[in-house]
Amino acid sequence: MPVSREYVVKRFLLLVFVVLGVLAITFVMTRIIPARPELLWAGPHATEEQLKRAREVLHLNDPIYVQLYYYLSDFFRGDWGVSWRTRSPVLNDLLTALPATLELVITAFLLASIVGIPLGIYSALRYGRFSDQVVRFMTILGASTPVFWIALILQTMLGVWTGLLPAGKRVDDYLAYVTGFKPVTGFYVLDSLTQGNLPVLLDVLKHLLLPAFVLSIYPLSLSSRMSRSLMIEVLNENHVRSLEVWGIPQRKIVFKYALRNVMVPVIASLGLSLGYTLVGAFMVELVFVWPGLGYYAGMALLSYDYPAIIGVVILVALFYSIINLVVDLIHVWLDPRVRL
Amino acid sequence: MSEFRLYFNLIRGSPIYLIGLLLVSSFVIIGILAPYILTKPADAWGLTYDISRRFQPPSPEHPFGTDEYGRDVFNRVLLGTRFSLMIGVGVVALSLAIGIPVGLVAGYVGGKAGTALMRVTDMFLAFPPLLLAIALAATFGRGLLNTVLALSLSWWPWYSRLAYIQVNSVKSLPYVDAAKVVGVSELEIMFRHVLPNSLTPIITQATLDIGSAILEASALSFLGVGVPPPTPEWGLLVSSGWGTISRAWWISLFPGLSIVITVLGFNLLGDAIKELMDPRLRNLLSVRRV
Amino acid sequence: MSEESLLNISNLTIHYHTVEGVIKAVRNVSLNVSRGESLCIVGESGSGKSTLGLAISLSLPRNAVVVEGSMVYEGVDLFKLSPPERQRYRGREISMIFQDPATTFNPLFTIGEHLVDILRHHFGVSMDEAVARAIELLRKVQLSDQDRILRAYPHELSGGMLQRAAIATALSTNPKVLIADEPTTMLDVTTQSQILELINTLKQEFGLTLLLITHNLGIANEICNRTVVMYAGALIEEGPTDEILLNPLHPYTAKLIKAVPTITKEQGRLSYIPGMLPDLRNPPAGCPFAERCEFATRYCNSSSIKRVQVSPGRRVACILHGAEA
Repeated sequence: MPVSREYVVKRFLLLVFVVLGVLAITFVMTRIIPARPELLWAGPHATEEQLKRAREVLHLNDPIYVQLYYYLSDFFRGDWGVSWRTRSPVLNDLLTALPATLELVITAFLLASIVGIPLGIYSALRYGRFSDQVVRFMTILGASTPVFWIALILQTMLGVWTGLLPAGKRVDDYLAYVTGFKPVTGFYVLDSLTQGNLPVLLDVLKHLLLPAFVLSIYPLSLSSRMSRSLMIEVLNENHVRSLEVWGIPQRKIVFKYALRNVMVPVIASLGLSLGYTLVGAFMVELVFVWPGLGYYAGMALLSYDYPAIIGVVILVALFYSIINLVVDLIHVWLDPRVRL
Repeated sequence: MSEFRLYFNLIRGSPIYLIGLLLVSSFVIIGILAPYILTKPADAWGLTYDISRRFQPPSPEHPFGTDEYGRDVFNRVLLGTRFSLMIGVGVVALSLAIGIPVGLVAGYVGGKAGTALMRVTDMFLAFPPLLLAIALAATFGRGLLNTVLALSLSWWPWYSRLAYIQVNSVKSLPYVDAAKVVGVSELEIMFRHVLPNSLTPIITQATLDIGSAILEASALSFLGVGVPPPTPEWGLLVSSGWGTISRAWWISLFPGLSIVITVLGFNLLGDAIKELMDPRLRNLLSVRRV
Repeated sequence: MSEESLLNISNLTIHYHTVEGVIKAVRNVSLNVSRGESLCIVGESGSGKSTLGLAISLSLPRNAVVVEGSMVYEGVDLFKLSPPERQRYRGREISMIFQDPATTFNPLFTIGEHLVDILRHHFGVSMDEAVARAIELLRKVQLSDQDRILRAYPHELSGGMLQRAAIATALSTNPKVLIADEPTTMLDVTTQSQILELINTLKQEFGLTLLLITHNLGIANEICNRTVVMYAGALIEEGPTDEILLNPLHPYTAKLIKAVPTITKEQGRLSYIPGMLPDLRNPPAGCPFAERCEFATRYCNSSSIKRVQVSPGRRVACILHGAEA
């Protein structure tokens, strides 16, 4: 089903509106709520001189609308302030860190969908039985577990105590050096593959496994719970009954017909939970010393690096809005009934 | 009566729900009683520092061991229940206090003003959960009250949206029209008729959200923008054992377990209530194609 | 018409297990269906008529249990078959169409995907062959522009078109029995008569045995030569449709006939039956209608009432006609 151009245009306009909303909220938050924004911007140990500079950079001596003008123009010019922890422009830091996070988050999402959706469907088909109750309990448990805690516990058990898996970082530095591994795109799986570097590829995957699993617990639980309840609901619908009456075997009804009804909303909600997962990555990356956006954000938070914090917040919110848009378009594309 | 029997049958059919109810009620009871049942109040409040008792593993004397300052972890976790309860209830209550009026006004007034109000709400929802709370918490600075405030400011849009939807569905019910015809004033209709009918599902949802509020508050504390030390907040307790976890695992393990068990209780209960409320799921349990 | 028996149901009892308790939806129903006849099953909602239909089409919901009884189709008791053996009868021997055409097809698949899939599954034909057959079937249900219909999603078609497509799909397997469960209830009046006429035509053309489930005795009169009346899960009257309409024996049937809206009676008030259906979790031991019946005696409640033959082909379960235990 082709998506109508009108809809795409309308949806893009909505995206612009949302982005402006995000900027408005962050403006109010950073410039209007704090009594002295320069204190936050320059860091807790700033000198009088640095504070004065910060006031100038933020145009705090000008009226609010001038401040807003500079805020927006700086944002669109890519000047997102300077992190006082790393002493470099925030946007640079963020873009450098992005691939590491994307690699982690994408892996976590693959895990979540590959395991979560079949698990939910299995549970639905065993509705009310013991195995259904077990899966249900486990997924509720998964959604109730603080990601930072389970990250710490598993890292200690599997990484530090038993040494089964690496306790942190993305790759063994020595191995990477010896084999001449060059991070080109920043996606290490991709880089090691294109360079045909098998030892590094295996090492990268080993490093990826634990943090990706921890990060996937929440979306995995979510997709499993959703696909379970949707499958139960769909199997009770009239169209499933008619296919049964007309002699289509149960297996085919479930895996060809009902599956599509389940997948469309599950994909949508998985897409939306990507936002939450990116925030979860703040904690997971911090624990596993994973040099991505989350680690950057986590360190910024722990050291109160305010420009960096706000930079991450805006970037993730923008990312989330774009995902929202993509999910909407996919939804329209997959479901012939949605015509907006 | 028949409703009650239905609930009873459902709970009997799935003991999971009973566990949820049990966990939540014990959480609330311990949360209320915590300050009065401490065996080592000074440890719990973080006032002691005894280097000779540092990093002791769990023992009958210290069931959850001791931390890097020689404080009894069990007592700190116990008192943490009180803080989690306060944060959870506080966040939900404050979010309701902001969210319901906004949704109610937007839904009842309708038109351009109502749409504008809901657009503002949508802007807040453009942030993924927790992210806005993190930003706000970083802006406000550390503190119990600031944490509650930051979380509430990022939560209220969910309730205003719920209230908005509820009001819109209640508004079209025949008896509201009837009240108008009889000459009851708009405000009276809103407070005496629309509000009570819209409230029940929102309050139910909010009560169950206490678990998620606790989870998010602990994440803020872990990231260093929530409650400041030496408050025995569970997320903070987990992070306090972070550096020494490989040799003193008990400092982080037990507070984390407390979070899991508490949030699990709310989620189990929520799942049960969702199943009860959802007419489609309920039908499943009682398919009657006669 | 031949009197050869095609389907013989005896003492069928079906229970639904629900959270509210066990619902005894069909109780001790016996029914003989001859090859090639059109039989109407008439009753209010809650009478168990749809459950009976689903039982015959071997598609009862999972929480339904056949407690007792047999269903012999061409000499085979279908309830005794294993699931894979049963699968050979679904669609292929016994097919069905439903009340709500809007929910009969999966909304995410085109009509063609449904129809072609069923054709290929049952006959193992090639894609092209299946499409050709599908077009032919759509022509038979008097749908024009068959290519467009095949490519259409359910929400793009009207209720009448969807019901025609459903009939085409149900007949695509060449079944011997077609069960139509309230096939016109959700349609507007003009479409209703067209669909009924179509079903009648196709019945002749395909040599079908037709089971029409309806609450409307008027429809029964148009289509079926024989009618059974159900009430609260029990079969209370059976006979030729015209005889039942002219001379209903059971007081409930008489009330039901009065409740049928006809054009001539439009001005007057519709009559209705006072009282409520009995609680099917705990149905009365005697006549289920006794509580609402103006002729009820104290024997109606206590005794277990059997159906008795009154004249050839006419049976009734009522104490007024000598049906005593």
